[in-house]
Amino acid sequence: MSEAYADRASREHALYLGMWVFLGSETLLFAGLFGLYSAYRAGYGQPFDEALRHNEQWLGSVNTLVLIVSSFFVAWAVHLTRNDRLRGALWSLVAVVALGLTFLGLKAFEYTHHLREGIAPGALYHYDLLPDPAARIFFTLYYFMTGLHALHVVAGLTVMVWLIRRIRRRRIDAHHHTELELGGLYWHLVDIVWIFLWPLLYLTG
Amino acid sequence: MTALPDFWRADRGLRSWLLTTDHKRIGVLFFIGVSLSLLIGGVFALLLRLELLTPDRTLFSAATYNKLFTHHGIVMVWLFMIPAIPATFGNFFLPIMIGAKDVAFPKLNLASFYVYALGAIVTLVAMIAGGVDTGWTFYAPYSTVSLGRVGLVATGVFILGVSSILSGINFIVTTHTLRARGLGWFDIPLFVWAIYATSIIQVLATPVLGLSLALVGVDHVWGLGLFDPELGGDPVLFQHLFWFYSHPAVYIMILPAMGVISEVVSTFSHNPPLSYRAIAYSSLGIAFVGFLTWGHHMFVAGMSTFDAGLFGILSMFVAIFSAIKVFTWTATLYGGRIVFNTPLLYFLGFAFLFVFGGMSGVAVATSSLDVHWHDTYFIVAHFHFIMVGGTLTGFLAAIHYWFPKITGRGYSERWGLVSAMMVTLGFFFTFMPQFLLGNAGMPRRYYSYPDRFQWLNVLSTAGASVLALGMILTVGYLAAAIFRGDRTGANPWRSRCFEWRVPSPPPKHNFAEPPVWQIGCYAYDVEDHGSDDVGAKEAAS
Amino acid sequence: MSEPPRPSRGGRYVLTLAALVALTAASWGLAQLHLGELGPAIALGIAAAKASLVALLFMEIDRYGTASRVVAVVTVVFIALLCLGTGADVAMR
Repeated sequence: MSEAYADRASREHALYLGMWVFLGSETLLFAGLFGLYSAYRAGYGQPFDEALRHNEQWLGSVNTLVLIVSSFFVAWAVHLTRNDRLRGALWSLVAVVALGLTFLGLKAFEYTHHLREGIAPGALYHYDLLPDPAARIFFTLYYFMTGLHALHVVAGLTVMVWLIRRIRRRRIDAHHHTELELGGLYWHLVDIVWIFLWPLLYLTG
Repeated sequence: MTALPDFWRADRGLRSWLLTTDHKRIGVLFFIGVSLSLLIGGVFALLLRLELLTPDRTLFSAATYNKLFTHHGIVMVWLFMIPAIPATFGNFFLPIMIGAKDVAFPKLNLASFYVYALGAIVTLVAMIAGGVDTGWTFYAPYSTVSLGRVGLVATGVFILGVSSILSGINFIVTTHTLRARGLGWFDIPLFVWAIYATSIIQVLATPVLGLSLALVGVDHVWGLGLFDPELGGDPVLFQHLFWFYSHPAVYIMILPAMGVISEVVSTFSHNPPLSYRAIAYSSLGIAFVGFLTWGHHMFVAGMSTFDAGLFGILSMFVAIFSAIKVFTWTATLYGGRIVFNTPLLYFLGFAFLFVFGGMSGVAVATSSLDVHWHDTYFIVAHFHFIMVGGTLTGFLAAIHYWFPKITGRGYSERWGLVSAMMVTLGFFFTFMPQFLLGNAGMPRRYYSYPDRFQWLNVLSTAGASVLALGMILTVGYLAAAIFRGDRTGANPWRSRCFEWRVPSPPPKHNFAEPPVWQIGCYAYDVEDHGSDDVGAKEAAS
Repeated sequence: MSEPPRPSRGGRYVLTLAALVALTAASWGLAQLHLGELGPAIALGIAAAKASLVALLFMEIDRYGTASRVVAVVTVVFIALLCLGTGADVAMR
């Protein structure tokens, strides 16, 4: 425990504040990509939209629901923990991991499908049905934005697994579960980022 | 009361330093890192100036020259200037100044040092293993096709950025949550406000840099093509992303120096600041408005005239906050009991050089003028006046101000005066000619130039030599003072600020028990009976 | 923040989930209508609503004091700033 804090309550308050500042920072990591998207969409217009429409809506939408439900299970795990229902909380987190893996699996499926068509990022792009440079740019952005997001999903899943282990070792209970709340906040951010990526990359062509 | 051992002696052995969570020791570790970086960056600068002594090739090929100025920029900006004051003096003094035993997350603090060290090593290795020649700004499309170690350098700087973000989080949470009892937001020293505002910029802007570097790195190594016109990309968009960070970055570099100046001015005039809130709020003002101005680096890049006009106007606004500070500092001196110790000499240098540089900033913010000055030595002079004349001067002021507190010893004021003069004059003669060169049309980053520009270049190099000598001298007498300087008490400057109420050097946990300060940190109206111990006054009040 | 836990009601989480699913479905449905220029704006508006629900009801942002809310607002403002600055440049060339 930090030398600087006199009591647990103060230290927890500091941890939460630190986490929120960190989340702000993480969100801004995506800012540049949203900026590039805005600029290229404004610049290219129609051929950009056309490439957008080539993305499989059902895949993106299912993934959106997967993450939303996973976010629910994170909140549910915190709720159960507060009520001292730790077994339920554990299974909630297991559900989160399962859903997170499902998300990644669907993304892998989607990437593979794209790559087989010749839709690859940057210089490797060679999809003849959408030859306009706007399409290449759209898909490069798509890969980078969803790829960066996927890295955050992996980080979040690592945190979830660590939390599951802590519950099993009884280090988390109704009175001591700061790390669960903090990890939960991170996962919700991962969900929020995708909530914005989905319409931009799948819906609004 | 038995004296606690000071933080230098409290734990012994290398391990106690390498695994320390004491913010003061971490500040010292960072000081070693940034000082080495300043030396390396300075060596690059001297090599550049040597090359520029003659209009054509002097010592190096053009290709090597390009790497020299790139490395100079990268090392100076990211290895030195960004962490120079916050990670060293911010780390050392922020907790003490708010009455805390340490920062909010001491282990994270140590981690941020090691991440800094890792980033610095990766960056330097990249420079040795071939180097980069893109300029510190990594503009696309050249950064994509350059044969240099772009990916590796980008990785190193990315890692340095992570360190910056971690420090920023730590300082923000510390300021919010660890202020001593009775210490409200408007009771804390202005240096704390400066570090706080800086930390906000660090956590918000640095991620955008991280992304920009990631894009450049991936582009260079794997051909991502987002900024490559051949692949449908727009190179100007890289500049938008890069400068969205890098303009606020210059405020990361100057705000802490301004914080130091605020402390120095009050201490050495024995006056409270004319308006505490003006300084505090203008720090936040700079932090926020600084984010609105990035396009002024891109006036001639092919940006729309709409954006150019907008950014020009917004850039003017940020000068207002700096002006508020300069006027407040000057007015603070008025009617004070001014003592011309070395830190105040550095303030005088700062006042002149920073104002000069700032005014040249307002000039280049005018896009109709900037079209002539952009990418000339005029710009180089402008930012060096601020960065060296402002930040480095502030850094030197901080060293000389807090030297007695950190080491418990004093240094020779005579040598301090000599060095301060050499640094200030040397600086002036290095960069004043560059305003003239730029205005006459000499482009920056150019290896050769027309014969008629030679005399100004020679003058600039001569100035740089004097500046370097002044710096070496400073190292010399300060090193001597560490071992042989006179021992000082807790408060040799008779300052009211809180850090002067703990022993010199401070003990490991700063305070034997949480302090409750009755006398404010700028309460120069409290009678001074010649005792340097404000603590005694506290006890008596 | 670390007062003894009061039994919290779980119903609100389920309702939030239902709302999020409904908004997702609405977003998808509206996208099928191809509303042209308004499409992206509406989609982003719904996304903002969903994000707000997650922030308020799952993350419980109001439990954490002013600072967390300031962080959230500032983050959004800065992302908007970057997008507007770059977008305006390209749009106005």
